[in-house]
Amino acid sequence: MAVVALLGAGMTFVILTSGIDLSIAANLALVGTTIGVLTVHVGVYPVLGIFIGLCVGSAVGVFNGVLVSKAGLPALIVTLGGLTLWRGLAFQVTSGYDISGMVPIISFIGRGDILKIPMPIIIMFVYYGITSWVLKNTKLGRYVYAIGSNEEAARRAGINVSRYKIGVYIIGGFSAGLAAMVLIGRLDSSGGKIATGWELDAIAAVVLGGTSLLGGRGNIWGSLFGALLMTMIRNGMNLLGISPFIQMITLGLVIIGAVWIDMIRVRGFKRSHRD
Amino acid sequence: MDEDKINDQDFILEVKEITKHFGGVIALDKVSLHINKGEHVALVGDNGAGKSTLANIITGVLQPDSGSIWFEGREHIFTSPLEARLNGMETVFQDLALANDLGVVENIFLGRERYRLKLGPFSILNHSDMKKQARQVLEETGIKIQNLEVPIRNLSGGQRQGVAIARAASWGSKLIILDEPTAALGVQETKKVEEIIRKLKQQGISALMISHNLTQVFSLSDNIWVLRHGKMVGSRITKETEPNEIVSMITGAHSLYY
Repeated sequence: MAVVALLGAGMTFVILTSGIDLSIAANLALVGTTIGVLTVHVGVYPVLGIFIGLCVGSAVGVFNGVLVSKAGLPALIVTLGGLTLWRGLAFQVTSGYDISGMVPIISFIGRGDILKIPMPIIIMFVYYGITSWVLKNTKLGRYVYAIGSNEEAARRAGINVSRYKIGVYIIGGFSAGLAAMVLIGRLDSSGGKIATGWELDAIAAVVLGGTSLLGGRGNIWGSLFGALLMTMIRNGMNLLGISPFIQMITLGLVIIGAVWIDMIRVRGFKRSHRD
Repeated sequence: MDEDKINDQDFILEVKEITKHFGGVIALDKVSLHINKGEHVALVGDNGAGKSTLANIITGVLQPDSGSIWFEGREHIFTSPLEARLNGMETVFQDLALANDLGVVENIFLGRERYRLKLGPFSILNHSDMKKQARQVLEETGIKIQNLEVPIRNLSGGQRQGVAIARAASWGSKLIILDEPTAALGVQETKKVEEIIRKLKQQGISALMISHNLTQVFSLSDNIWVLRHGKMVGSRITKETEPNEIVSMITGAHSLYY
């Protein structure tokens, strides 16, 4: 839940600008293996390993952002390429093997608790608190909405659109890095195949939370609610003993349904728009 | 027209012999125009006469092939609308250029927000200050909107045009270019927007209005300039002319006006 929620937080920024980041889970795997290799195999100081991991995640964000905003490639294609690119890189780094037995600080992040509250939950709420504040009260947040709402208007108003677009992909990448720490801590293992397909869960969480795929509308707490809903659907079906195949079918339908509802809402707005 | 340099000081904008080609087509042929400080000027002409091209050159969207533009007595050919805006020339575009998902205050301050603390992209917005100033601007321009928080897609066309004009007026602008300000609006809405444009005049803001609507042109402008086939046919003081004369200038019905 916390991992999908963290990915969803980053994804919310990207989707609010009417972009998309399909590479977010692959980025997570890359950061996870980077931290794993550095701290377990190479033996770097854990905090430094974490720092480098977050830098790698953010660098992937820069890569996405520059290709989307400067080179003008469609976000869907750039990050679809990234989906296999970064995961492939993660496998390459570890030659396909998993690294298990994480250093204590990572294990604490994934499984520890403070006053009986699990660390992932604390990290999740703190991150949501910060990101929601940023969206509401800072220049960056305001421009994220403006770009998603009317990119041309934002450009005419003198906003450096490409800089802020790169910014949201960096936030996406950073969120992937944060999610990676939580996940490898909880699994006590890292490798190229962790979090496979979770980019869809993150997108579904964002869309279920009421953020429009066309950008400009939505808020971050909705994504937390969406992540909760996704987890409840998954866990509920597990508890009911529903076959994993049916679960896959159901989740696919939930995602399509959520996007459909979003489109119906947008059309409603357009109609009222015409007066 | 007297081309004397001394006169330049009285003009907020002077366009001198602008020529613009698109391939082999001459869109504008040595077009000149001037706007006095505080004056509201209308630019009329048939479709394809070159009104939009001229407006685009003045605001820096397009660059002229030859000729000069003087803004506030200085020769200044803008290379982008943003540069024009930073120098005090605002454009209200036909397609509004507002962010429909943002509220009224957000739109008025888009691109020049007020901050409590400057921290680059993480600069902290000063919500209350912007709201207060937005209220004041809306009051000065006579725009009535109850709830400033709602996304402006929920406002009427006239209200949205009002927000666009209020935004232009609040940049401390000296000249506002209005491209078909009421083209997409109903009768009531048009009246409201015309009222807003009159308020601009009371504030001493000059305006160049591009319009098809002659009734509107006659009720709002001090001077009317007529373009025909890329040439400036001439100008008339609104009070001293009548619609028939302007129509014949637009259509070229009488060779008298060449």
